[in-house]
Amino acid sequence: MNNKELSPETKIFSPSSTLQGIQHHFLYNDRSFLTLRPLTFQRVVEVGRVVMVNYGPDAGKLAVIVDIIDHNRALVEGPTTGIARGAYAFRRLTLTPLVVKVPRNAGQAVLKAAIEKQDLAGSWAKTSWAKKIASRAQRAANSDFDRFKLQKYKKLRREIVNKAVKATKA
Amino acid sequence: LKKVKKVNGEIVGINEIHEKKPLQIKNFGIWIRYDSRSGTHNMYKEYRELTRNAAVEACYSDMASRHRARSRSIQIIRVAEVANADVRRPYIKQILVPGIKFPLPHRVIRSADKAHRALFMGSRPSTFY
Repeated sequence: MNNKELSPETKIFSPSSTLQGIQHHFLYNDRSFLTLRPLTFQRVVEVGRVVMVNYGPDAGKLAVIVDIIDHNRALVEGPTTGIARGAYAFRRLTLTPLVVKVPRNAGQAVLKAAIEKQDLAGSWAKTSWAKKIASRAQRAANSDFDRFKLQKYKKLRREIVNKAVKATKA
Repeated sequence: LKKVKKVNGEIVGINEIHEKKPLQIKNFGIWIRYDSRSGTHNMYKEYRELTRNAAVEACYSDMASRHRARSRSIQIIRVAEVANADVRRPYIKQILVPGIKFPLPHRVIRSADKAHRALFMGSRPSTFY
């Protein structure tokens, strides 16, 4: 993350709106008053944070933090992914960059409506994290014929690329 | 406190207390009387849990770790649900801040199941979340 220096003439809008949703904060005791520094920790435990359960029978599923019990545990629920409301330790969760806007301790119906309104499944599928998981799963599920096809496609791509590289050198 | 030695008494019944709302986070205040190595003391401790049973279990574990008090030396006088406004202990109050959020600074990446545990790693893991 680079420091984003604003010239003195620039108007100060609310930081989060100018800088693509990355959270920044004003440093009032900083001598260069107009320096906005990005927060080191972007993924934060909060009500509405989307988490992935990383251990146990529901491993790999997404859920939403509904309430925080203490510094070790949160009340978590995933109505669209089949995770019943329960206490999960942060040890068993992985925070994602996604957040769902829900009030604290929202009921299952409210949570589900908010998730669907925001199309969490869609925005999750767009993340490179989800794409990597999908490609890993696809690779593991490839049949011999799929692997053969992949080999042929890779060879084709290699030929095209190498030809183009050679053309630039000539 | 009513005292009766085990030989003089008779266990009539043991019942588990079922929680009315096990999915609601509550603050439990527990009044304890316990014997330390050099005397007996009263204590009031607070726990943030989902059920009464969990709070009492947390209390016994907590007393064992912090004061080395075995369960035989602990008498639980009273367990009561405490409203957010009446919480006394700062370690619970700090969680009750509205809109609380905090990062997890040290991330330990663990395998999803015991079968996939790696004994060796190619490179040093990053603990940044």
